Amino acid sequence: MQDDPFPAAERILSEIETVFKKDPKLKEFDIVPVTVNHNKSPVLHVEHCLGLESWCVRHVYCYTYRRLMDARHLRNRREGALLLNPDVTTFWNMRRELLQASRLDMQGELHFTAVLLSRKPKCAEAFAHRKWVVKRLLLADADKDELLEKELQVSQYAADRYPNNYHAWSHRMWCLTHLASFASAPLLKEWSSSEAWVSSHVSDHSGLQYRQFLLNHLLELKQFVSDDVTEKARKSILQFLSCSWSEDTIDTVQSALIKAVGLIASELLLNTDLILRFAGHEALWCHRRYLLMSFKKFLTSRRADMNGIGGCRCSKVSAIRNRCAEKSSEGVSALNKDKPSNHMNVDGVPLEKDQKLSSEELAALDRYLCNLQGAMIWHEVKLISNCRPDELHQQRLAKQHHKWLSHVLKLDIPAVTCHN
Amino acid sequence: MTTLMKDVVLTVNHPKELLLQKHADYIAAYVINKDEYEYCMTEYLRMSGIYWGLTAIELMGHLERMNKQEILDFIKQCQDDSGGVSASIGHDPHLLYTLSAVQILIMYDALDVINVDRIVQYVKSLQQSDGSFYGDKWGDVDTRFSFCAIACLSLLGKLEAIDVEKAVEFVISCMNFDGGFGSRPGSESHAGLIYCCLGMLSITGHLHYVDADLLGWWLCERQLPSGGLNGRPEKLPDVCYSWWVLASLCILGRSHWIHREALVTFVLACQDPETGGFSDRPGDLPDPFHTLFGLAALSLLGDPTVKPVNPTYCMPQHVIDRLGLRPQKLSL
Repeated sequence: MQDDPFPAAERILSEIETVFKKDPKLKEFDIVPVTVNHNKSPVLHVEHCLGLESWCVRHVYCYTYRRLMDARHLRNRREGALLLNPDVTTFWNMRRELLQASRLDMQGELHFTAVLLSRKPKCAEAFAHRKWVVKRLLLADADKDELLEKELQVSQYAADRYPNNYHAWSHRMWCLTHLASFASAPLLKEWSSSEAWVSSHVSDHSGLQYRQFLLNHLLELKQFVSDDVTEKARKSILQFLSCSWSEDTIDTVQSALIKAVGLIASELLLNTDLILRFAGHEALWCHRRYLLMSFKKFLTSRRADMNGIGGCRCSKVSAIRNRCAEKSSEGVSALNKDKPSNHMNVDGVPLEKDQKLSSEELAALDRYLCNLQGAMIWHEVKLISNCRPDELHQQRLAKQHHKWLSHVLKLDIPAVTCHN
Repeated sequence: MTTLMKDVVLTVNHPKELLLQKHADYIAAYVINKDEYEYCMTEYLRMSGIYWGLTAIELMGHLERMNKQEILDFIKQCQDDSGGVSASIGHDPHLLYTLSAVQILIMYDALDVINVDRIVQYVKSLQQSDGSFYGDKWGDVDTRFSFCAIACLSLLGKLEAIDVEKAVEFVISCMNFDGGFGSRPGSESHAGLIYCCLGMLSITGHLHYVDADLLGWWLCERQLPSGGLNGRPEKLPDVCYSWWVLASLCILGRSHWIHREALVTFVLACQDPETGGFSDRPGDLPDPFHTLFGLAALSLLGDPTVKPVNPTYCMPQHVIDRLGLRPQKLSL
């Protein structure tokens, strides 16, 4: 029941192959809606973009599919087959066989898959192929940084072209794992650059989840390369604690703690801003849950780490909480001005179990952590009350968030009425 | 200004009754009426396509309408020297299609058509030192493959061939803060992958590692005002997620956490009243994949005209019973 072997198919496939060979700057492929055969080549190559007129697609694909399946031993390249149907695992396997036999080169493969992804940005097989090639290049001592740079570019390109692109973001995480070994510099660079991306893609749950991945690894770091992280962290924490009137300074707090808290605090502040500016985006609220869960876990485990301190002084916490609730109707209180700090412990040495703090220092640290938890609750109450009542979907999300705070995070959160 | 939520809108014109006869006709005719181009485009997943069609038609009680001998002959030609099974003749073996083949053969009670020991060896050879599974010899790791490996071996009664504890360890390492699971450690929670991980933990009896309330919460938030379920926040509803989310909730013993009637309405609206079959959402073109999951979802939702389906294996319950398998399920 096969079509007559389409005579032009060979020529068309060769033309496609030639474009790849001759144009290293080729960046895109697409099928162009031209339904009539005007007896000229359907292969278009303009400004580093490859196009194939739609009238020939059926014929070319059936031809190349049959030929590849029947004559696998002939080891043809046939980019055309995968460009038209990138999900065929066996075709990717054939290319890997050619690569193993050195009949194709690795860099060319990376170029080919990048062009393919322009048309099918969520193609899992393309990303799987890139991982395979990258692994081989690593074994051949390729430059890790260069590889990482390229992979991040391609992942971003795909993420830009298809919302919630699972495979693109999963690939990005894989690359950070295998090409950067979670060193602080690349993590911080990604942390900084992804902030702009998520702020302009507020529905993109995958992009936000990537920041969760980054934050998880940043929180595990014992040391950070740059010191301006500490400065930024202090500023974020001060802003976050702006509801607090506590006299305590953060003198005795290890800078590793500051950096960790600062990261979470700054992300919470960013998230608050985005939720209020872009109403009704579930992805933002989901991201917030992650932040709160991480924050709570962090605070709880820090306090458990402190030898001999045990639980917090509950009465103190409820006093703080009540004052926060009172203050919420007054709007944001003035930022604490920078206070002069004495006995600053800026070493960056993480709190070791055997590093004994004096009982005063421990008490101050405990109050500090309590303040943070109180501030966390204050911010939630404020956010929920600031959601506009005319934005129905946002209201639904806010209500659901409130439910989640009490049922899942088990926070004793006061009932909130909304603001105008 | 209110943001519009991503969802579909059901209308009075969408089907409200289950058109079982139409679906049986749709599946029975599907294999035959293929044009050259579509055939070439979809051959790479043919084995799974047969599994979807066969399971769907068996749930409707019309297995006899499929060509058993043709299918068995086909499968026989798809097992190669590696022991693995491919999607179709000439294609390369892969765990996905090895599982589909075993599922088909079990439904037909015809395992003798292939070499079971070689399949076991193939699956075993794909397990890695961290407990994960490659999909095939080319080395892609994904929790879907963990499910395929475990489901396949348990159907063959050969789970002990692999390191089950390590396999469980890897899947648990893919658990996220929201109780869900992704494709690799650190990857985003996704309903399809949650189903695979829960299915794997159900078969191996390790559901106690799961925070059922937390995950149940996330899963029931997949339900949208249309009644349909999505796979992740801010995605559109899709009938296949009705299966993956609902089956997951069934395994967790929390299927009553979604609104059943609303979901039934959505699933029925996804039927194509002219050609038969289900599509991903109302008004789109149907296909066997969505047809299976639409029917399976209705079965889980208690429709008495569809045979009971097992939520862990997505196979007819009577077949799972016949094998004496009792995958773990939680209850509240």
